[in-house]
Amino acid sequence: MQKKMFALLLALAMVLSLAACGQSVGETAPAAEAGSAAAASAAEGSAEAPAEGALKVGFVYIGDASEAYTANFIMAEDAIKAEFGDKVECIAKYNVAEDAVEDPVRELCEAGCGIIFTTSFGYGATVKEMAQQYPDIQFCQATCADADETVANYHNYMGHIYQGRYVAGIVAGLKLQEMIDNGTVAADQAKIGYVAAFDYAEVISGYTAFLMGVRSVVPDVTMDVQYAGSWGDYDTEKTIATALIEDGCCIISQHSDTTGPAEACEDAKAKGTEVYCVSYNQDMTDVAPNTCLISSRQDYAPYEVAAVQAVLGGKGDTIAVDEGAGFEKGWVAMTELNTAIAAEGTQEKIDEAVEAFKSGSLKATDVFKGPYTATNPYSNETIDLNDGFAENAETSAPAFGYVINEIINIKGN
Amino acid sequence: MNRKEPLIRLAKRDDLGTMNAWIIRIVSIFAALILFAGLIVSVGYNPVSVYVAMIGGALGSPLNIQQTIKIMIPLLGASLAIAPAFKMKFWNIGVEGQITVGGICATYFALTFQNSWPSGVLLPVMCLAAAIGGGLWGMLPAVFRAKWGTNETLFTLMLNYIAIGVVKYLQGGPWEKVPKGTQMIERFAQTARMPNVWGVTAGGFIVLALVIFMYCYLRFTKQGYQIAVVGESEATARYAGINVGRVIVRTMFVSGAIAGLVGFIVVSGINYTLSDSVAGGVGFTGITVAWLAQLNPIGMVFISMLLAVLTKGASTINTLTHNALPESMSDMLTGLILFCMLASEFFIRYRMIFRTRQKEAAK
Repeated sequence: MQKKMFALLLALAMVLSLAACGQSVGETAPAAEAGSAAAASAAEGSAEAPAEGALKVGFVYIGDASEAYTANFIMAEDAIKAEFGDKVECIAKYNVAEDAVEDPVRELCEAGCGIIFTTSFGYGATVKEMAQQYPDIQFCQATCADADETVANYHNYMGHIYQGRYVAGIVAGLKLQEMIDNGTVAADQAKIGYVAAFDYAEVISGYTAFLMGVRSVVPDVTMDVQYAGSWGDYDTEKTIATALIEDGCCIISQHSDTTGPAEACEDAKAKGTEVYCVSYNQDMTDVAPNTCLISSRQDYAPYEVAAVQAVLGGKGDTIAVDEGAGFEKGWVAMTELNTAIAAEGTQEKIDEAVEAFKSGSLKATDVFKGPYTATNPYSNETIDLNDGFAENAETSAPAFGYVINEIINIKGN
Repeated sequence: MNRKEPLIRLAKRDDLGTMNAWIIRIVSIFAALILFAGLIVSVGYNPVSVYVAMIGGALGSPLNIQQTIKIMIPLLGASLAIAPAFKMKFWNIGVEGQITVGGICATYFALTFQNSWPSGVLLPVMCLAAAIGGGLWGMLPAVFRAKWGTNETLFTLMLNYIAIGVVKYLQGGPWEKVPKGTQMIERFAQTARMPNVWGVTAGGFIVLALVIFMYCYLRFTKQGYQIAVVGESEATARYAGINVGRVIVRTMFVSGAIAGLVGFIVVSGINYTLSDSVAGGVGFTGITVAWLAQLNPIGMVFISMLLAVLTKGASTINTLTHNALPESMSDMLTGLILFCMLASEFFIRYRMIFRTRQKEAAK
């Protein structure tokens, strides 16, 4: 019996000692990002706690910081924290699947959030319904095109990303021209490849703008596009990129969330095939230092900071129904150019193009323009691009869901 | 007796009451919590405050309780679907797919008739279609097993992927909403949505009714008895004049139909749409629940509640720690609990006899 008691005591001691080390939930973990305000109720009393009556700002993310897409939104959240300090309290929900968005949003509403940013397209329909149930909370839905005046507290936002894609295309085009000049690839065989998620307007618009950027430098180049059937699937993206490279594509770009395509390029180059890549939403030079030229990215900080500012000032109703902007307001940005591998004079061309977008001398109707007819893959409706297509004229989410079959070759899986 | 006795001897025991057996099981849950505490400490958090915050997040407010119940409903439903099949020792790993097929059938009627039929007609039709669809999907491997002796584990498992593949086709094809390319099916109109009661889908009552049904079915009916006999020994069942093939097919229809109902509850009462993740893994987690509850439907209520609390609690912790503690920690904890509870079965069946005690007893 004594032994048993002793064993129990030992066990108890162990549990208590476990409890003694380690810290409470809500305090910032040692590994977690420094400076982030402690979250939610558990944080009360801690030195970093937001001031009494701070505005609660909610975020719903499809992934977490390990993915380019969400990492990009988290940078905007950080910008809000930096801008408003203890006047705001940020509460984020990570890894929320598109059909499971209702509960996290409701929690944020009940926790007292004044404004909530929902950041994946698929949340839109549910969030719009919930906005009607919580008319005093502002809901800002990224990359969606379903806001209208009937739900005054539901808003859409997205950067005019075709601008970034076009500039990224110029960078790729300059590199391709250099390869042609060097004799690495014959001018009539130069083609580029694109790993695309789905044949959805946002994706089609993006790759078309990219191709137009490349063709502004190398006029006759064509592009192979292959759909991954997923927004983020490392293996599939890498396999597709590898197949495109083997098929003779000398530049690879992507509209998908993982580093798969960049790593496929890096692997191919290590094996002696000269190929470069242009990525999206994230600087990928750390995984592909020898092949990744540049990435275009959305910068959501200007919008989100302004929206929070509006709610703080009691003017949440002034947030636009649907808002978008390009380089001119800093909504679209380029990551740092990888000067070690980029063609000579690339930075100047980037600056030139960005300036042209900023000043308005380069517009959507100049990018989506040419002697082409584009076809909607679903309805087979066609449009004539001789006068150009005014992308983002109606909505902040891209609307160019038409494939230019003359210069874009959609490959089957 | 000169041979040295081993330090610990094992003896089968049969004197342990049900009460004591459950005490051992509950102790094993605490053992899992203590083991997991080590893991929490290793990431730099205080396990006590983590557990307290988890319980607060799961049960701390009416909203939290509603959301926890919302997680629990499909999980409990799935484990109820598993119960009769497992009781028969028919390893139905296909509940995930049966739920999905139920969801597809319900969604077909929702999308086709949501603007023309009133709720009072549409919802029962969706419910019935889901049950029949799920039931037939479950019956398929049973027929093969009864007629040709195919391996039901592999068969039901593979059918999951087919069912999920069909949804992927539908959501990217004929049922995709406009504008195309989104891979999503539109959300149902109000007529195709089950009402909420106390903030939770009325489907919860269907599941509660199923708990009572399944308890009585397995315990008090002739069919339930046949299931038990077939589960113990097919040869005995045959000798006793039971048509084994028929029992297998019939039971799998019941199992699949319950899973189909869960699919209906999810599309019509929780998600209000169909997606390839309609089952969301509950078909597999349900196996854990059913097993931990010893296939006892009443036990499943408590086990599914425990897992729902863990899941909801983990999601709260994830938010509070800024994603430093992942939501998947609820899966890890569930795994540890399963491990400890399975290990506890050992102590329920055997008692350990230490050498010293044995000597004392010999005197």
